[in-house]
Amino acid sequence: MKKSRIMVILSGLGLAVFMAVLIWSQYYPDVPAEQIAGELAKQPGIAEMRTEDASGLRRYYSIDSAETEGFLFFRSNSIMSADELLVVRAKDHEDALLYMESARKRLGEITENFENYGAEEMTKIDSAVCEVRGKYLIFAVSDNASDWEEAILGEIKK
Amino acid sequence: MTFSSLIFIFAFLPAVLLLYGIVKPARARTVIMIIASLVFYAWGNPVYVILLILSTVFNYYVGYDLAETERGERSRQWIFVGAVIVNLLILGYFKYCGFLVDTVNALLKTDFAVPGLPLPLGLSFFTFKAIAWIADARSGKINPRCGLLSFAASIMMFPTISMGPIDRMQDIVPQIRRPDFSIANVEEGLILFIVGLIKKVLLADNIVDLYNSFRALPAGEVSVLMAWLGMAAFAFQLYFDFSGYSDMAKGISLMFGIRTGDNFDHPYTAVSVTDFWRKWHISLSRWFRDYIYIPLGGNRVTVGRHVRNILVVWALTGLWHGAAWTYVAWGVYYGLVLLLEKYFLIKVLEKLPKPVRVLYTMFIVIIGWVFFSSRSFAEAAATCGALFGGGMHALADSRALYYLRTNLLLLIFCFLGSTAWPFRFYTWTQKKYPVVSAVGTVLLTLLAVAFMVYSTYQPFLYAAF
Repeated sequence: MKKSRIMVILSGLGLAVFMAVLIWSQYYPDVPAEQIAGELAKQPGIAEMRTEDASGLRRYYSIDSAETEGFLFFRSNSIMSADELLVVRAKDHEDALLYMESARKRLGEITENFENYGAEEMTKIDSAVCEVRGKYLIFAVSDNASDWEEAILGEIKK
Repeated sequence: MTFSSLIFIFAFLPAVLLLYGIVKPARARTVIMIIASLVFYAWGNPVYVILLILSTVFNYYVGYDLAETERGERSRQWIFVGAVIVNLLILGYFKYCGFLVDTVNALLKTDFAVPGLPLPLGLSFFTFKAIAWIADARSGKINPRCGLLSFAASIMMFPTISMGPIDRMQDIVPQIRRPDFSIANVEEGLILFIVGLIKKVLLADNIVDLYNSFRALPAGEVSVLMAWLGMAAFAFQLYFDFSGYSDMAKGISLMFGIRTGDNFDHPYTAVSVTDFWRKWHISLSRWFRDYIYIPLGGNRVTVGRHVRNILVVWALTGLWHGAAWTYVAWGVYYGLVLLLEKYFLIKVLEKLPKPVRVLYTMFIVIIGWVFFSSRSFAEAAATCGALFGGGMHALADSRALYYLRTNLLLLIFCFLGSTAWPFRFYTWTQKKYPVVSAVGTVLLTLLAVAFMVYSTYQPFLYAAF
């Protein structure tokens, strides 16, 4: 077999493997927000936070809940704590990326609120989770942020 | 990283250009172009660099393999069809899978998950270049044994990777192998780049505010004047955004000693829709002509087949622009208008004065942009209703007059900028008053940079296609 034909086969196989891995690693099935809420309720720190509604989502993130396919929004009961968790199931990946911009702005606001006096809170802010997986936005500021992230990913990756 | 970002203009481009200038051997320059292009590509999403490299290697060797004339015709046909399918599958997965799943869900009331992968930078443009390469290799129009490095540098070169022009590889590969790198070309390229930057930053990124104001209004509160202002703003934004990018891409390529094709030729001065499509996104129109329209038989067929060919080509042109039925409708709309012109209107148009023909063309084009800019048919219908005063739309209101007054100067600049007059004026001043011309260019460049520093980031519209 000639070199060119071998290279076509090898690079074609490479493309197939790359696409398979990419699709597998980035594939997140549609999971209702309620299902994620059920799993999150078992996580540490969630019970101590208050649940925000659509007006909270609009106020803090400028996101219209009607434009989403569901969301979960928790904020700390204490104004001395930066703890916050937002999970948005967007209509598509592009929308989720737009919401991530809102989450980044929100992170900036939280940082401004705590940067001069809340050293402990700043540690949480520095290790905040702000990411898009498929059509989900995950934004978490807390000592438990990585646990929450793991729980959410566990649900949407099932 | 985009051409109109500070990091590109003040760090990436000068560094690569300097390195390219210092290194003399053409092969080393080819390697620099490849590395720079990979860095440019990786800036947004590094994972897709692997896709770019694998696709490049795959397409190069497919072309190489197709040139093996001793292979049987059947074998070559299979390789060609297979390679086209591979390219279309990759494009289809990233660009059209969500659209397909949404359509199936809507039709069958199912709830299949929509894949959420972002579109790799310039995938549509890359795919079309690759298909052209293997089609030309298949038909024997090119000798694809140019060397993998030259091919890779040509197909992935950073000035054109994100949004074209969709040049033929046979036009670019020889220039990559022997770039005409000179001070004169760097100078000419820089001027083109500045022209593009001015179009993008000073015109497109400012007129977009008028369009956004129009779109932010509730449908019932849009007057006829506001609707026309809004759609005119969109028409100007799209033109200056994409032609600005194309000028920048051409300018950057020229700085590296490579002449790429033109993409625009003052389309808003076209005297018919047929003429408009000779002047708008020229490289894409040429691609569809060469690789879809002519293989289908072109116009040397019966009227019925010609109608079919035109509609197929334009439906595909619409679909290429975006994965939505509104884009398909936009494409078919142009197909129908072009057929009307060819068989009925063109003789009538030829008898009319030029300004009337230009107005007719702009009217058709702006109605087309309604479908292009709308996210749904309902939105398009509402916009059309507002444009023609259907329903409860007032002819003009205080809001529209306010927007007209505050944007009048910008609209005049946009109108002038879409003609050939500024270029003629620039050429004239360059000859008569070179110092004034140079000072004017520097001032406009500084103004554009100031806008870049103080305004929010505005992505190029065609990058989404």
